[in-house]
Amino acid sequence: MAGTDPVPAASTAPRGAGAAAQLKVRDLEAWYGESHALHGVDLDVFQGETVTLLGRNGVGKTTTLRAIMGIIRKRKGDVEFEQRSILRLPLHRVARAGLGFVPEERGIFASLTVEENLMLPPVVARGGMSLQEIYDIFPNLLERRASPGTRLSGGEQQMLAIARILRTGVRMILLDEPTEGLAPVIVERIGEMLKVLKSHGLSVLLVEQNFRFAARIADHFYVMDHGRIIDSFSVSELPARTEALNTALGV
Amino acid sequence: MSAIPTEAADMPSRRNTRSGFILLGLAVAALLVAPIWVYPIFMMKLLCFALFAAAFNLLLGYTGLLSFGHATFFGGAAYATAHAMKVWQVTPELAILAGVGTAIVLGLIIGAIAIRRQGIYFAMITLALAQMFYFFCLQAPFTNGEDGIQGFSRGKLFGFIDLNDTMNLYYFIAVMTVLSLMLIWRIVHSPFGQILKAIRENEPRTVSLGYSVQRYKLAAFIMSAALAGLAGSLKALLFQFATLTDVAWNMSGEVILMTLLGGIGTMAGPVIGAGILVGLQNFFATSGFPVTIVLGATFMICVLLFRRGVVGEIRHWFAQGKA
Amino acid sequence: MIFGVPLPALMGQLLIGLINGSFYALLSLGLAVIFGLLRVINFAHGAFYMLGAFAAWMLLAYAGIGYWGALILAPLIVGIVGMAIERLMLRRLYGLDHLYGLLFTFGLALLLEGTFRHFFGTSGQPYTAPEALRGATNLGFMVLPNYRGWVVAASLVICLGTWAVIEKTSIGAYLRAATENATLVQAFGVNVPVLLTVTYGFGCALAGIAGVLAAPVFQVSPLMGSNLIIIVFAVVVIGGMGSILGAIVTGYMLGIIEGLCKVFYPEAANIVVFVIMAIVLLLRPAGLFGKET
Repeated sequence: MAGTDPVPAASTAPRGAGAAAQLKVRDLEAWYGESHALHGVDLDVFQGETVTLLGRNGVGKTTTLRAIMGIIRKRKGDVEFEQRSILRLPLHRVARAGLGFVPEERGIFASLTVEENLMLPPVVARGGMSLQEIYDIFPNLLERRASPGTRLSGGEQQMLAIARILRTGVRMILLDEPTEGLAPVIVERIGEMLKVLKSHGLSVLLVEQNFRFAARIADHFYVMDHGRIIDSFSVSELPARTEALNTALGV
Repeated sequence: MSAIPTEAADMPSRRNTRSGFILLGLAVAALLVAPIWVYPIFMMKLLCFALFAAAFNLLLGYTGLLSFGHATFFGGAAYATAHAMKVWQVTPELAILAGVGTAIVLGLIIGAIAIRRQGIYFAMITLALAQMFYFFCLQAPFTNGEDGIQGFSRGKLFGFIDLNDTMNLYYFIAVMTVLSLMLIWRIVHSPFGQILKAIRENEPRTVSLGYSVQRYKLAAFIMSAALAGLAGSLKALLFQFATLTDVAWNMSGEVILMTLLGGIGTMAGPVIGAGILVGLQNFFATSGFPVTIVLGATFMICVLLFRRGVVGEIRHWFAQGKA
Repeated sequence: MIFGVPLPALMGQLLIGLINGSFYALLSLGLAVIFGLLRVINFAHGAFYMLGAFAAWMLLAYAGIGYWGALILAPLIVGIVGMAIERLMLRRLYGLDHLYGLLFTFGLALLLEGTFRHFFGTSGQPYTAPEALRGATNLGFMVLPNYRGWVVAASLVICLGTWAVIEKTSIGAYLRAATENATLVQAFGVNVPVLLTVTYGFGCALAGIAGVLAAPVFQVSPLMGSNLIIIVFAVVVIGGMGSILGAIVTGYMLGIIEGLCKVFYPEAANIVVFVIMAIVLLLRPAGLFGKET
């Protein structure tokens, strides 16, 4: 796999207009203990892009995010962020390099108030939102600022999980299944939020089961199966792919 | 999180059983002739502690429960045996029965309370309850406080085997220890033992399979206490005294170290660990260097570098050689 | 007279109970903070308490630094020793069964105790209270030795201060969050390994402060920590380790109960804490402030 074109099916204009990818993953393998979970993942995320990882349950999407971030330590291959290899960095230095992470289970802390949850991730670079700006966008977080983080509804918790990363000034967010288990109205709001991120120039690597949701916000798609990327295409190719994808994803 | 992992080859294959019997035969032969070369009192002390550690290992190695209070059963039984010999003046076998009975009662009470919590709490609770027993022994009149119970005759076993004869005593203790170790082997490899191991590996799953885990734990705890008690009784008989040292927390710590040093969850480990530790203690007792420092350092080194223990490391080394 | 006991005697024992409770609270607070984040039951906590007392004694004997200096320096020394041990050794045990942490720190306790016993023997070294805190104050219903009043006040301030730092500050928020999910906190860019080291050092330093406070009350002896730590374990089981405030409250409460027991049924005073532990376990296994897990 190493060294081959990571975008086997791409045919349209080159992404990133010749610039180097902001996040470059090459031949990434990962293990949970003894079990080999990723078998060589290649993908790129360019500055300002929203890229979605699609695939059925258990094919390694979440593992990919966790391996890029360095939460899973048993890895091989290479991960470059802004032309700098981050594979050997200790976990806390990865965020400092400019990469934010929103876990699948959202990771809202029960023993922290909403505001403490918001203020928890350290600011790693300039350009993040201020607390005031965040409260302007999410007035209900302001309202509930003193209550324990886990008292919020599922949707509010998801907003909090994303909002607290916006404060830190990271330039890319790894976002794991933000719409999981949420009502359609809330999913709608999350979608709007992701557009706000995009307008701020943040890149997003998104794992999503909800294909229709992903279709509305992503610029580029990767499809995973059995710990590998098996397909890659841009949003403009989406209509032609829909049917094949529905079969592949078992929708 | 699972209990302390062990390197035990748990299912006895026929080959394992056979090599086990060969080892046992060798050990028995060694025991028979050992007094020719080794000071018998030292051998007997070693045997008592080997039994104590093996009893403790039944609980830690095969059930996954770390008791930090096993001195209670060891020392409690020692007191009972010494008291029975000195005050009631019964024969040694009855005095030992009194000791084991005491250990069983103590095991029932402490076990019933301690199994209400798991893991690290279990360890702290057994430690605290053992400390309570220590204070009880410190204040109760029959233990003679700091002096302990001492100065009684070993008497005649069944009324006719004189245990004041060193070789008689030696073979009696050797036989009791070997029988007890075989009993432990039987328990571990019985269906009951398999359930204990299932509890060690995955307690929730064992519960969901319909076993009343608490009862099994309690039963294992009492068996372990009874055998630790037997070790304590034999020790009291051997040295003709029972003191607060036997019930103090240091004693509970020592038996843990013996098991850890030899190999948790192995049959031979506790015996070997007891041998090493008793040897170390004897060596340093005469050197003037404080034994506590040696014990503490050994503990730290074992935990950091050497968690499988002597037997576990050897086994691991062989297993890797084969693979 | 109250239940046939003269009031000054009752008050005297209550005060002793409150003093002991102060040490229980300080020590169980440290244990709870360490356990919360590191999942290690620090058996060496009693040894660090002893180390704190000895540090104060040695500062005076060898460097001429008095009580007030020792009150700052001794916990600092103990904390640094704790951090070094976490950094060099304890850290290697994090991925393993928690029992290994207990066994390791037990060995450490033996090592520290054995070392001090070797050099200083088992008889205690006297350490006098500072000038300003000598003497006693007559409160009308009892005579309060000033130093004992100071111990109670100081431990209350330290306990509540620690509680406030953990519950109300952003450093405390890191600690609370890392207690829940250390990996995620580290993924946010917080240097969790350093947080673990500092937390262990801080917990040990709390034991060190307790040791300095205890030095003039009890004698400075190598064995002063080992019996205390077992009682503190019982305190921690009674309170449940889920709550910082729970650890503090349970510590004072049990000290007072023990003091009362000395008045009304002195034979049981040594074991009353353990008896209460057994009763609590039978009625409420998770402890008074613990969450059922």
